Amino acid sequence: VSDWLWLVPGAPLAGAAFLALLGGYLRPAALGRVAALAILACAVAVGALWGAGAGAPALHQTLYTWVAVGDWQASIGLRVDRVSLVLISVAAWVGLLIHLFSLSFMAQDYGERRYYVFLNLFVAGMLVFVMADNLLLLYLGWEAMGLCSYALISHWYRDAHKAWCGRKAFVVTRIGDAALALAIFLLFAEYHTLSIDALLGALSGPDLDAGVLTGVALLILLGAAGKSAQLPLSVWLPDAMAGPSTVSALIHAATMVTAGVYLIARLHPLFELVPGVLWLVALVGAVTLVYAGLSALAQHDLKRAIAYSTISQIGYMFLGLGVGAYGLALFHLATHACFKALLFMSAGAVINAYQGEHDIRKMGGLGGRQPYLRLVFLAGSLALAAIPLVAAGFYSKDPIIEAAATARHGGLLWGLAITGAVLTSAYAFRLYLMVFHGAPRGEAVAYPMAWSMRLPLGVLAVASLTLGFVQFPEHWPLPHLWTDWLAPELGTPPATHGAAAVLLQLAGMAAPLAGVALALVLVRGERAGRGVSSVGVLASGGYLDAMYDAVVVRPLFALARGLQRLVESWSLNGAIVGSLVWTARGASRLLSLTQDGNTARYASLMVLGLILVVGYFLWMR
Amino acid sequence: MVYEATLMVAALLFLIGLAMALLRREVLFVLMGIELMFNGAGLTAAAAGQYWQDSVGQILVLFLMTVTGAELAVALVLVYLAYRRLRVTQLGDIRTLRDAPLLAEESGP
Repeated sequence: VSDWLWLVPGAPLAGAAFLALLGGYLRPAALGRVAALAILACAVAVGALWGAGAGAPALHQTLYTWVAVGDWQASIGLRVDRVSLVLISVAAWVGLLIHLFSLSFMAQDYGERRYYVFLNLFVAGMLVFVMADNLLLLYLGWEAMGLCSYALISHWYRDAHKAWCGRKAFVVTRIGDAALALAIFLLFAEYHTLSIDALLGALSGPDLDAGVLTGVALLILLGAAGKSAQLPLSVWLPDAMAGPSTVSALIHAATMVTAGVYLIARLHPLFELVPGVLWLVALVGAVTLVYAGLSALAQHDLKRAIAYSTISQIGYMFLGLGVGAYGLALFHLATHACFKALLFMSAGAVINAYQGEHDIRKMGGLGGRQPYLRLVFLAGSLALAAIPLVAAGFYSKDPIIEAAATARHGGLLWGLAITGAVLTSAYAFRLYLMVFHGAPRGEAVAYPMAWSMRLPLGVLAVASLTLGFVQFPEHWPLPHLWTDWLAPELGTPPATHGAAAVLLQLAGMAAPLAGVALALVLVRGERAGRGVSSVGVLASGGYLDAMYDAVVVRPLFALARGLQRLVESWSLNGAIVGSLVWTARGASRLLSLTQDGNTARYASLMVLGLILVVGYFLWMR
Repeated sequence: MVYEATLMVAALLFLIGLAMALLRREVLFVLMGIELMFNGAGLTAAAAGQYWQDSVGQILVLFLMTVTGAELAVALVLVYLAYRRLRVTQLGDIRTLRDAPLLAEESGP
């Protein structure tokens, strides 16, 4: 099957190209079907990969030599092993469900062709990023995702604020992109290769420069933090909710924001050589998950709350990576993709049912009118809250919290993680109760859901509840398929033993239930009009936006304005352009003296010129 | 052979024609100067044909006469029109074909 690997990123790419070039000839309703068909081909190809050995041994295909300089070359080469198979399955299958949901969700919209082109292109970019066998191609996919993310956040660009949100996302992630590019340059300068296999091979060799490796690891961490919206670059994700809910589901929950997790998991041998940076990954994740959990608790915008919860859940993945539990981080990535895509898409349906109202304080009691929506949202909330035993989130998140206890300064990491677990459960059920229960506080319209919306939600709801059963907690006499399957590539995650393990697991089970109790208290307050959403420091995400605005954005704008006035107006426009204009004008005035309409002079000049030319050719040569 | 003398006469004709074309003010005289220059050129062609013992030179003179005749017809019409439209017969009075930098600057931004 190696020869058919190109089909996986190729099918969505072909779909995007077809829609971009020929989409104008299709009816708007057909555009979505073409896009979904392209992803279907891709999803089937991914299914075939599971059938054909499931990434072991790793499959390779080199399509084209992209750059060749001397003895160095970068190729468009694809590689699929078990780790990347997890990611491409998420991207292709969740992507397919989201395309399906879009068919009727986006039917009443403008710009469908643009939407589907970028959605398909995004999936292609994600797959290229995941399957790339060298860092250059990986970076291409990384940037393609960033571009599509920008274009889709600003999908409703006629609203100036939404266009601004897209620009903000693009500019903030660009900081991380630049860091990743620098990391790639450093690696190339040090090892003279960009092939991931060769790089990881070189890392196991002797005489490594610890300073360079630390720098590279820190830069990659910054790049991953930018893409995955971790502190300190988390500010773009809540604003990215300006895009359609399907875009939030695909890009800002299931796939692109987990790219940073994949990148670190893929390069984990590098991080293991610099344990300090690896621990920093865990700390970034732990701090982020508490920060975002607190912020999510105080949001009254349904989508912003889920966005902060995404930041928080990716914090858990970073924590898992940082304590060496790479397999568990990927497991949480997969389950998170299912329940978060589910939550975003059902949130989109909720918002449509309230005619575009995002404020959960003006919702309530939707459960009676939309029983199906309530059921799937409940499934997603159970998984997000990691309710013990029933939901997939429990099986993927609790082991990470346990593993955190084994790391250096494990008490700190574990404490943050368990606080985050309480918060997660609290904000998940706060949203669920505010939207679907209680007395109606806003006008909901009848919003019939087509089968193409019900089916993806149903599939994801089932996955959110049952996906966890492939991987039970350590020491349980039940299968551990996931970590066993990934062990050859990522090793086994650290585990606790004895009485400590029992205590940690009990604490992990109690935390979500405590969160639910907290949610009940919060919802009562919120309904009475004195909710946490009035706490400014939480609702604004710790004033992070205002801080960046004061420290970075305003000084930069002031600098730009100063440069415009001093350098551009005076030096460039005044001195350089002005002198050019003056010279040209003067020369033209001199020449125009000869053009005074005196015919005899014209004739004389012609004769003179002729004599000079003929004379030159007769005597000077 | 006496083509040196012929060439000398031709050059003289050409120079007289050139001087007329450049120095005279009357448009018709300028035209006559141009015709004289043509004759000088034609005479040179005839002399060259004589020098190379070739009939091409004489044929060229015949062509030249034809073309000159046609040119003269057009030129005379132009002189006539210049008189009728602009009421001028002096070359120096026809100054419509000139650069007007001041005007261009004023109409610019």
